[in-house]
Amino acid sequence: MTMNRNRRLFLKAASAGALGAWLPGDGLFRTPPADGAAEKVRVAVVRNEKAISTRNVVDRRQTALMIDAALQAITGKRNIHDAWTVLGVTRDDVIGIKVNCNTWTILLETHPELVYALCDSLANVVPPNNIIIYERFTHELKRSGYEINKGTQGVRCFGNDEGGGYRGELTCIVTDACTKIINMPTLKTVEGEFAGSLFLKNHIGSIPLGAMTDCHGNADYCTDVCNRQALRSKTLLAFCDGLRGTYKRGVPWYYGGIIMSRDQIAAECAALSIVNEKRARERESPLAIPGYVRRAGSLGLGVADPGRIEVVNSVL
Amino acid sequence: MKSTEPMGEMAPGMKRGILIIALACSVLLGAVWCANGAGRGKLTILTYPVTGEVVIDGKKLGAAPLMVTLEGEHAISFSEYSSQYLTPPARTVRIGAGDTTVVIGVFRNRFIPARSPEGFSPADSVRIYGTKERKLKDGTIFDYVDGGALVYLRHGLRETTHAVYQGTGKSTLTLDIFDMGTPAGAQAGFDDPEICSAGHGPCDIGAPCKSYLYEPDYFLYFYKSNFLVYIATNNDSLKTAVESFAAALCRNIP
Repeated sequence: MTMNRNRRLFLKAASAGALGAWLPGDGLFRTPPADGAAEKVRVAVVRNEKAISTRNVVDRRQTALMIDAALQAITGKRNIHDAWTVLGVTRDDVIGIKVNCNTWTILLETHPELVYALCDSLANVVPPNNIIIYERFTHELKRSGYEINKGTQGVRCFGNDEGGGYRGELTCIVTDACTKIINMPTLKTVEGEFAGSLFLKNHIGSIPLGAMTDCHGNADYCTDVCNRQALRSKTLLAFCDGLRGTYKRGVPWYYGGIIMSRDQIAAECAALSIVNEKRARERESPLAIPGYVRRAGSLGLGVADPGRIEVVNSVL
Repeated sequence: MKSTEPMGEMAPGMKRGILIIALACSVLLGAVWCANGAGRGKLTILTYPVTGEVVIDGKKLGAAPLMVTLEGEHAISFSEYSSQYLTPPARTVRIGAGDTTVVIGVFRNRFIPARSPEGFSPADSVRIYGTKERKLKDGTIFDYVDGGALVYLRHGLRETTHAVYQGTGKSTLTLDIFDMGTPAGAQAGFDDPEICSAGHGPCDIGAPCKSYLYEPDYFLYFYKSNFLVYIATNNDSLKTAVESFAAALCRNIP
């Protein structure tokens, strides 16, 4: 990607935001006053109707533009290499991308086109082979359209079942193989005690199979998993695939957006707010920020206070 | 080693599964045989894909796999597993001194139509998931649908049969048969909006049915007897194939 293209994109995204092409409705967030912006945690929301069709077909090139815009929004850097550097990525890092392929009834896997566009972006800094896309099982990744690769060339992709086992109740992909983690769920609503199946719940796929059910009836368990040292210290970026989501259990809609932040708890709250906007339009009751998300805030995993979250909206 | 032919029609995935079990078994039996030296013959009885109960000479000996030392002629049969499976036919085996014999009882799913949905072929072997307390061939329901399983368990889910078919391009068809234990459990699941949400359309397949179209996904639920069935495709242009397959499956459920 060239610098010029980045600059053009940035200007387009920034102007779209300034024109208010997308404004929060009755959600949790309002555009914060400019004088308070510096104190807030920033969440980038980028929408692009050309990125996905109503047949769930994703345009990788368009998603790349969205990623660029989001990175620029959260780092202030127009150059992608600089943006990743500001986020702390170095050439020697090994980046794990935890996607969500454990979907059922409605196809809501993290779209491979979006993930590979992210890999292309990361490749501005790290060698592609230093990127590992992972999920519980290799067969889930394969079924979702990912190219399984355990070799020494290209982006690696495999499940925990081929990831060298577990250490400290986390997959060795997190504890041993990777130096940084990108948490990449989809915009999934499950209602009930979880409200969403977003960032905190996504790492249920980073723990041993036998422990997965420990979160049932105990949503705080998801918070505890994300608070485990390796995940807490290595989480680099929260990046939600909102190209297609569900706004109520089992009912999808094409949102055509992505949500990105350095703070996964703030991103979780922003994602719920987006879901609530859709729910309001569909005359569904709003989802509150659930207790386990607020607890994550109190544990210092991120910011769960909407008043401290700045949502930067862009439309491409 | 003498190895008997498994009974029943098998999908390629099933053949692979049986071969792996049989190979593992032959290695194990070889080791046991070397340790024991010559004597009566060894008989191992396996079942696939479910854990069937083994009956030898009319006596129930427990769940497969079983290894026994025998000699002479013996009648091997299996108890009925559930209405979803055909019980393998009984057979007689002759065990000679020093023999190592493996009998594999294949419980064929009688609900899944032998003919794949039009335009599809089996993508993998059929998976079977149990409950947390009763793990089956492929583990528990949580290994498949994770937290989504809780609502099914509330209505008495006993086991889940899961099959995937591959069509042209990226088209897939997914089949799940939920054995809910009782007809009331199956109906309760069907009536539960957490499973079958509002906004469904009609479908005429010979049993109470709800269909959902969320472009490009199309799926339906129906229930009959103890079973709640879910069939889905990611290509709604294949809706007719899904409904025909559902109707064929429905006819197979007594």
